[in-house]
Amino acid sequence: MKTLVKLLTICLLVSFIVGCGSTPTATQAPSKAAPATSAPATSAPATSAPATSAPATSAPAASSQKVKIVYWSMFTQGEPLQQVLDQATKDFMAANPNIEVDIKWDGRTVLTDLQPALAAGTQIDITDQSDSSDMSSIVANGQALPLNKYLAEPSYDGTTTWQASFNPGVLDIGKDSTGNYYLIPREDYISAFFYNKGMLDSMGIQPQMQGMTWDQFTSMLDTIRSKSPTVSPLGADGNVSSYNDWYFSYLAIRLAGEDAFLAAAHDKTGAAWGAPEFLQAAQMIKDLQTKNYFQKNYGGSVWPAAQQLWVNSKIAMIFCGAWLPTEMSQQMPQGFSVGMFEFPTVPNGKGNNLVEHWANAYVVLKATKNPEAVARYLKYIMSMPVATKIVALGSPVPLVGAPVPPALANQYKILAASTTMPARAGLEITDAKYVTNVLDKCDDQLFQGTAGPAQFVTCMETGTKSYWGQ
Amino acid sequence: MGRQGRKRMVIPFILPALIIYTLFFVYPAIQAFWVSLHNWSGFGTKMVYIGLGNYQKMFKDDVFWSSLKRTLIISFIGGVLIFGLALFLSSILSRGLKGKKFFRALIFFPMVVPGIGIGLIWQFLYNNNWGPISGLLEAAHLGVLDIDWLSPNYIIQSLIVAIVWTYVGYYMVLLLSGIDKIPPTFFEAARLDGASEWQMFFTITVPMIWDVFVVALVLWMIGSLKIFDIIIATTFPLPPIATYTLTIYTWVSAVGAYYPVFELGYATALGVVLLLLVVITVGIIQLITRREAIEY
Repeated sequence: MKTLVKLLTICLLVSFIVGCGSTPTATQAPSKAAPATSAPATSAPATSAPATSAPATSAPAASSQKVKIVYWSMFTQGEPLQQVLDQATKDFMAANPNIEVDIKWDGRTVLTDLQPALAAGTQIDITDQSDSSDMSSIVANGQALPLNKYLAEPSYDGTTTWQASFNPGVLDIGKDSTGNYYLIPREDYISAFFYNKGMLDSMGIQPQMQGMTWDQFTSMLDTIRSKSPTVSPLGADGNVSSYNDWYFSYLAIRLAGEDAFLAAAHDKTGAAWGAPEFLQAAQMIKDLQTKNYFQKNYGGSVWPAAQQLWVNSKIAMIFCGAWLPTEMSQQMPQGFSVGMFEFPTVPNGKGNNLVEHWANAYVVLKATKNPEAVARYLKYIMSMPVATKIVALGSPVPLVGAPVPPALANQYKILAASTTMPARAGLEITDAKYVTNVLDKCDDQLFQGTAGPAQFVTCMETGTKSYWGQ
Repeated sequence: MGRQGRKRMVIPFILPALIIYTLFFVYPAIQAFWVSLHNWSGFGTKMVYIGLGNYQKMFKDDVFWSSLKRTLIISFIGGVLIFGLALFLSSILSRGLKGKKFFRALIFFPMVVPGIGIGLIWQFLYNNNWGPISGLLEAAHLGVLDIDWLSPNYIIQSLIVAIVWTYVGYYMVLLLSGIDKIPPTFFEAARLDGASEWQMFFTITVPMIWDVFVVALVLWMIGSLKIFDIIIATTFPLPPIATYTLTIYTWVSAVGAYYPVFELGYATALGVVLLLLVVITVGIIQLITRREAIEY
């Protein structure tokens, strides 16, 4: 009865919010949480991609008794990645007749739908979303199963341990302070500048993949401006707050370091935002605005307008997550070539070696009655034949030896030479509401030019103090 | 049949509806208040009782206050514009205008389109890169007026325009139904007495449609305080914080729709406050607009 009442309460709240209007379609919303592949890449897929073959039938099933596992997916029917996963699941079930995988293709609001389902005691064994969403929902609320035991077991093909089959460090995305691993990353991304390679080549510009200084960066923007006055050197969709704050958070972390950035966010007095590095970061953004590097009216630009201008060669480069090439692949003209380089460094910076890294990841519900079968299924999905099919769609898969989508060839080079950090140094996982209610609120005004650097710092100081005072 | 007998007859007819209403609305509403007294992410059944903690937090929450302010701005400024325009248009259409049905249908048309569709239309109209508003201004060499329609500085004004455009037809039709019921002889008599159009409007039309006007006003206030879909769609895929109304803030806080924020207990408290706001606003409207008798 208590469960029924809670369900009714959730339903009432939701119906109260949406009234008689349509349910919002937030499923394609861009965010720093990496969106799933929504379109097949037109750029050449990994050439070595073999077809997804049925898994080795000799592999033992988890149990001799037929078991059913339930996976609520972040994909909806028809998406390219959904089709790959659907076929892989069928192949898995054919090879493991004693394991039935029941999939609900729920879409990006899967965690929203999971709330009442879990309260009602519905069997759900696996779900997937961005690592920050998984961590702050399922893991933070003690609903996730630690996967250390299964990661220590052999991988699906048995050539190594499952843990060793992943790229070094990538599993740390889903690791808690006690050393438990909760997430199985399926596609991983970094954030970087993505540029129109053909355009910059024609201007004789070849951006340095790593280690470009801020001065070299702005000098390059000036060169683009002088060589092609009709092209905006930078692009931005100002209506996406979580894209806007990339500039400030990166610059602040570059200048002050990750620890200082986090300390300022957690400073209950808010005074830590008064450090000169943060003001300097805001001034560097102001500098980009006053030099008109961004396209006209970027503040009111609605996603994906700037990305569209980028593929139409009206914008030279755009800062985004590494899903961008795949996301825009269907709009890219024939021969459009993508280059990428990491966020520029700053003189005497304390965080010049950092790069944001995150993933779309599986999480296993603690309540699962069949953890062995679940682990076996996930090992298969994260085996090389399936991974290769995912890569062929343009999404990078963090497995040792997996092919890399051509447009993201630099991603793993950058990762190899950098220290990784979660989005916004992890604030999105630990204090997502702080990000929206303080950082984005102040940053939107700075990024769109309605507040100057000093006003921005004041906003951060007062906002932080007020937030932690609640 | 006596009074007692009639009562006995009524009870079986209303009882099924009453039971359903109580079970599916009243009881969950009470339970919602109970949930609002807890710290609850929505994942699992573990709720921590914190008394009025969520409400105390709300009163210190800047985003709550800015969301409330925005909600009230939309309700009041949008309301003034909608009812001003609706009264104006209904007065014109009630004057035996040729093509009255066509214009009425045309102005009403946005109400037929789902809110999500309306929002996407306005998102296109406001698009600075390929939207017609910017295109027209550029063509007319008025590019200087082409502002960032959907930037934080202008987005609420832009949204109010979209909301007024959407709802004015609905309220016009409501008011028109009231105007059409006024006997024409009232106006004829007033004309014979030398009354001007303005005098007739304020001394005959407005008093005679007062009850319809009040109902329309109550409907608008309830609808506007809960407005959601148009804003969500106009700002698709991600409503900036500068557009948060109480409903959007509730949604954002509840289910991690855009950011991984899962505070269902706090969101329920926001919902309870919204419910109270609706009840209080409707009560105030009824108090202010109460008339013992129609005076005209």
